[in-house]
Amino acid sequence: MLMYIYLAITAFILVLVVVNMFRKKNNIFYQIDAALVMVTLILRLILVK
Amino acid sequence: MKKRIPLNYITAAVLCVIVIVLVIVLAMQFGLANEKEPIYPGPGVTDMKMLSTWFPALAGTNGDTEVYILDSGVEGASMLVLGGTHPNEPSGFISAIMLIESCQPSSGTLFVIPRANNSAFTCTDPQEAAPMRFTIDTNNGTRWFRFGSRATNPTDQWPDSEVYVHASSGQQLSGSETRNLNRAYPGRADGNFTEKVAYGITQMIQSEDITITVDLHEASPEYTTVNAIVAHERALDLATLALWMVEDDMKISVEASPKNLHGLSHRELGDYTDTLALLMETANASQGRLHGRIDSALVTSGVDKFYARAYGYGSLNVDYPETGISISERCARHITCLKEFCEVYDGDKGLISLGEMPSYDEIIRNGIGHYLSDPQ
Amino acid sequence: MDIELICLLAMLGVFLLSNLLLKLPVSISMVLGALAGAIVGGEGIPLRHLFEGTFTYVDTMLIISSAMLFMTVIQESGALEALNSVIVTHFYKYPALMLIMLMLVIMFPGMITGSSTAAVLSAGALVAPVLLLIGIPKEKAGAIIAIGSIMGMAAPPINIPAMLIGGGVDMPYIGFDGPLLLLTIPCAVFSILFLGLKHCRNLDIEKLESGLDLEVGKKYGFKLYIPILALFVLLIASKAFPAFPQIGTCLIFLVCAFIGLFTGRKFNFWEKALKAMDTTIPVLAKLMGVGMFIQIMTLVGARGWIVVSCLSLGIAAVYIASFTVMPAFGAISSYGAASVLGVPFLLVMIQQGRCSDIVVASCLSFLCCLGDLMPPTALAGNYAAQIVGLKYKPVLIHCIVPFVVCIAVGLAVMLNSLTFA
Repeated sequence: MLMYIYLAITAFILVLVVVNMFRKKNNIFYQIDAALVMVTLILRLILVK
Repeated sequence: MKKRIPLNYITAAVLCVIVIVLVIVLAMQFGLANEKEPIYPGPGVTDMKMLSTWFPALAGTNGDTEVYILDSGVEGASMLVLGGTHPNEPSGFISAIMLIESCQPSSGTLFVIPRANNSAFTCTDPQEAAPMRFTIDTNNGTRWFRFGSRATNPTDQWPDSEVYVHASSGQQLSGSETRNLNRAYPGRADGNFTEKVAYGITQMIQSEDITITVDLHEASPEYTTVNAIVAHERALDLATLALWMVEDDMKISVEASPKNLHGLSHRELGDYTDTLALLMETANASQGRLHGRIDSALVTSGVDKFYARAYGYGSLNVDYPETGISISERCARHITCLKEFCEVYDGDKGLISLGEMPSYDEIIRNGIGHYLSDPQ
Repeated sequence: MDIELICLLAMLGVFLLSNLLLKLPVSISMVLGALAGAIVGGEGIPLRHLFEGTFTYVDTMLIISSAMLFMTVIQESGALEALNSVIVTHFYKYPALMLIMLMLVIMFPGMITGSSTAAVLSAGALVAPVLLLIGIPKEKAGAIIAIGSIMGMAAPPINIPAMLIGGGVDMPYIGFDGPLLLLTIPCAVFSILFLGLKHCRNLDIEKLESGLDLEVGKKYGFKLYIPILALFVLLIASKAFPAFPQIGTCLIFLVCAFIGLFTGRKFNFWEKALKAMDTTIPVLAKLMGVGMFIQIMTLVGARGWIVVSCLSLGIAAVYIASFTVMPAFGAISSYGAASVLGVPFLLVMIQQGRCSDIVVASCLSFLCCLGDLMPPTALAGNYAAQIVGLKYKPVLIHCIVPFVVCIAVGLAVMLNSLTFA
């Protein structure tokens, strides 16, 4: 049960990261930072790693 | 007027595509860890059951695992060999496979669980950079084997608590031990995933009335307990007798299981069941902190210049030659001691013998691959 | 020259070049450094290894993110302002006592969670406005929070580096409380008095009150503090009672943040949450970079080279490395320092004898914790600086004296471990 709650939290954080990535203007490095974080969060979310 | 898409949207979209491609590629790579190497049961194997036979809650989960039964047909004592409690300690796993593929007990019954923590075989530890598989040459071909993690795959048990509290003793350990099978004994029927696996093994030992249980491990060469047999107090005599028998072949010590260190097989299985609980450690460079470049060759050959140097500085507890400590030598230690535990056991449950087994020198000379089946 | 050393130099070279000369963010510089190491080590671009390394920090990422959401809720609901006015108006007459109490408040979440980040983000952010209000300059307030959070991380009952070191040598986490208190409390008290006392000797209550928002506390009353109380209760209960559901620090932060939505001023949670994550993403990315860097160091053997080089110089050098290399390794990861260096160092020290293993392990864990002040990652320093609205360099400069004192205390206790055992 706790695992599914944590997966939901991971999904929520992921959404916040993606929205921030799209909103950020004139800062490609910030967007790359967000992309790095996304890869790890998605892999955990889909229970690959 | 046509509205232009802002540049930040375009770059973000491009990065999203890259992220998706990366996720797909990585999912394929990490997914390879779910493939199991084949094990070819030898003539001694009379039955194969799943651990869920003894604890049905494990059925259908990644914690369920094969239990090979080698019944000699001659009544006697029984022995359980646990390989792969820690899948990053491969000599225990390979020794268990060698027993399954080539051992023919002449009295008593041998139970072998090659992948005690099956889930831990499906991942590797972050920041340890371990290979996902390693190879061993047999007489007619090369076989591959899985190199896994010390702990249960987080996809089966997550999140870890910050502090792991061992259920029956209340002992506190680092949260990273929450998924360590050898900190979870005797386990709990309603515990976490790893505790359930431990519980299944404990249940099996109780219901099969296993006489001797040996948990095969490896340790980093800088660790304090290495090249050693750790014995529960009830198994100390057995370990000491076996030590006398193998002393000419190898340097090895017997240590009493510490009473204040809980969750380990040699402590809890001895306390909670009637089995004589033992644990063995050999020296494995690939799980240590001092090794140089890590790859499949390091796992099997053990050749590592940094460990050889550290030995020269007096920083290790074992002799570490430049030629390394090969997996054949490490398996030879395990197999020789297992054989002796059976030979010297003289309890009221009858005798147990593993039958014709190669000697310590023969395993080293011919290589462990000689005693494994050829790839089919 | 060992190939492993060449790889390490390539990694560090590319990292520094990217970060200092090309002015790339630390995260991207670390990724580039890791890539350089893999290529020089003949591994090409090992995607699996690069991303596998980041998984060490998944839980940390979630804790940081949820703590930031909690802090946002506390700030926006008005609880923070109300709490500040209570502390200042009640204790302004006894500045030294007030400072020590504030230090203990900063330390508390670190003591419970074993994470300096949790301490900075929760109590650190609560205390920062108070420190500024009583006249402590921003950079010193940041330094106080950074040092306090690290003392909290090292203080008992939970010290994760000590658990990691103990786990590496099969030493149960028992008997560490005394040595860790001996190390942390004097250092914490010294640090806050050294940095703060001279700025708040004669506090003028009227001036202080003019800077405080006394209204919000009156309007919402006690219920404003419910999320903060809930946080403390849940953190303590989950550690003190093993039977209490172990929901994890991350979920505790989120539950308390949720409660906070209904106990004070109303605000747009979605927008504020996005803003909180906006400042958090670069820190999370930095952790990703660190994870990749360590994994490649291990893969190409650079990690082994560092440890063996420290061991090669003999026992005296191991002691020297324990207060130089080990905190410095914290620039990559303080937990990493405990596991990579702490374990072999402790083994060498135990082998040499004439020391108490528990006291020495405590000292090593204490020195590892100090690594959270090491740039460029400087987790504690970075967040503390963010809270007081500065870059981390001026904050870290003020950390130097307390840092040196902590090292000296750690070393003194370690060298006399039998006396303190």
